[in-house]
Amino acid sequence: MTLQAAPTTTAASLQTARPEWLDGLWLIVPTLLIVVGMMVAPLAGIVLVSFWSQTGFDIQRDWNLDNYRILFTAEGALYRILILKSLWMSLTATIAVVLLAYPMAYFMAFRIERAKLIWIILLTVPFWTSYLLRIFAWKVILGFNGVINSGLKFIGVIDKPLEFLLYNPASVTITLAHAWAAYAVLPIYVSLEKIDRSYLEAATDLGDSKWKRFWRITFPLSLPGTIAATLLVFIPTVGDYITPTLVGGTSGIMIGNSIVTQFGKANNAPLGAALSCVMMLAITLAVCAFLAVIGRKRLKAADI
Amino acid sequence: MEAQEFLSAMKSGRMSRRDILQMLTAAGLTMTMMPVGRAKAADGEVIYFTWDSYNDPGFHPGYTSKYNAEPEGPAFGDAEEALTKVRGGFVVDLVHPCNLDLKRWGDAGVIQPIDTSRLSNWGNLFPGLTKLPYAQDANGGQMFVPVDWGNTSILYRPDLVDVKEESWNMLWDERYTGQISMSADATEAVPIAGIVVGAKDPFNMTDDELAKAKALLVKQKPLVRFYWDSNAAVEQALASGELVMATGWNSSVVTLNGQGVNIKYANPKEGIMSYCCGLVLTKDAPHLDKAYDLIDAMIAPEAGKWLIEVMGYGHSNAKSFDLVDDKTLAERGLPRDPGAFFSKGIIQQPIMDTERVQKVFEEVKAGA
Repeated sequence: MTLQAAPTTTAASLQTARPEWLDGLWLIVPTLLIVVGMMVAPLAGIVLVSFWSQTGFDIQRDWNLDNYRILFTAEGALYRILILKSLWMSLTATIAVVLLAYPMAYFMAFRIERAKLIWIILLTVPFWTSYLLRIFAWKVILGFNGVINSGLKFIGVIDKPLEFLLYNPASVTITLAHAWAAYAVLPIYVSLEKIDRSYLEAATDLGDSKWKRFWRITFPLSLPGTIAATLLVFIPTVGDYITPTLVGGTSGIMIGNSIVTQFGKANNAPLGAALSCVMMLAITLAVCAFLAVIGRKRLKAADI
Repeated sequence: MEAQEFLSAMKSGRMSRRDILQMLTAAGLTMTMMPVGRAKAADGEVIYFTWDSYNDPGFHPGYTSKYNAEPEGPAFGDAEEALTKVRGGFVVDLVHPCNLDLKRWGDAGVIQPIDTSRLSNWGNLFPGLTKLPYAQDANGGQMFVPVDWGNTSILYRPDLVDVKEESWNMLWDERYTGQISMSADATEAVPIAGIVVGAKDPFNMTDDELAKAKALLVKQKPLVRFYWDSNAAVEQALASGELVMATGWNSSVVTLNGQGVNIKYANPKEGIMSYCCGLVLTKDAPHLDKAYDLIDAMIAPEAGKWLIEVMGYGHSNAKSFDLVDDKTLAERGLPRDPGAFFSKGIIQQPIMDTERVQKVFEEVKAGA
């Protein structure tokens, strides 16, 4: 039946219309241009440069795999450890962010009845300040004579400032967890807000406890936002270099610092480019692994 | 439309939608057509690319009074960072590197010879400083105008550190784990390790010596609280007691003493490190005339007096020393004649292969 119907419709539309997918093209042209110009082209540039080499002040356009050879042999063990360490630090920060953000989003979605917009705005107020300022704030809080140390000293818990608060991987993780909170709250809030409240009533009617109801209805339905939040925080934080520079000290540095150094002080842009490529690859693998753990079935059910 | 007219029209609501759209279009066009970068910079102030907190009016009183304006002063944390930026197309007129960086700036081909006949104070500069290695290019062109000179040594808190003998070895004292800071600049940190391992020329070490120096820096890393990029960070941490010792420059002594902090500047038995910093003129400097005015203002005796008294550094102009009394000089550990001074300690030498040194230190810092 469809076989017979198809030719007639196609014949009719052939003269008048271009393929359907082309219709919206002019609408996305500006976006497309920006994406190609600002993202695809520079990215291609980085991949290109990573196959070149640096001699003195000049970049040699000799195609070779030397940079990758360095990164994947004993010479580059340092960078591989740094990538793993960065992934680990970001993962910790991401888990902390999501754990902190979920209750906030839950509260906004289910407990706030009036003036939700004001709550959302209030939530984003700290994020109106510059990212740098927020990191410096943590430096002030965690510092040697910082808020925590002087507070504890004042109430007599300690007599010498705690030095482990600042300049280590933990302080980087704490700072990242706070700095990215808003990026996690909003997507989770949106997916919680979308949940049809009658499901919850139905679950209660059928005898589910509050706890059970949460795990069977609310949590699965909020997965899209939670997964989005996880990725939104995890992916950019792996490559962060400003936070570790300011609060990381000597032990808290991440792969981003190494990449910056290659482009600056160490003056080896090709190696820096190769490092960036390997880092992006590592992030992609980590994200794929994460999504695989979540499972395709569940992803489909969650409608992502 | 005049601005006044425009405002009153806005106020009284005489503007039509069309008028506003026209204005916006005009404004948008002007913005996009505005020449950017170099052309725009050409009519501003001279751009003086210098160390963090080194663009104080005191450095160049003559320039400030002549133009009633300050040079634009973007800052860098170390000279290599500055070179990378300038090579990458960052447009500046003058940069403030030090004698050990000069070879690299010359090799990079980003600077031009300075016409010393345009500098009224040139004749009074110490010849020992104007003729430092690589201050002149192969054709005898003057590439570098010395301004300030001083030391790199260890700043320490005598109330918190137990010192038997002042030595560079202090920086490896495990009793002060987590209370030591080292310069993040490879051209300072690596030679210090070189001095400790007893390298013949700490600025140009053999592979073997460099490997030993690297091992020493790796050993030091757990003791280091942070590698410092700005002397302000070091001063704050020393004042609070977060750090008990750090590598540093003369000016921090004056600053910290001024704040009533008990601070001492070590005179290591292996020798104190001395350097001389100054100005280089970039090849495509957009404000050439103003750049010469700034150079001349910075080597003037009154600038030198300020530099010695307030910052605690030596100055390149012999006349500035006439304006300062002996007591002030003695307090800052400065002699009347830098010639004698330089022969006493270890002068920072131009590093022939900076990249090798940079790479080693970056590996130390990146080590997980």
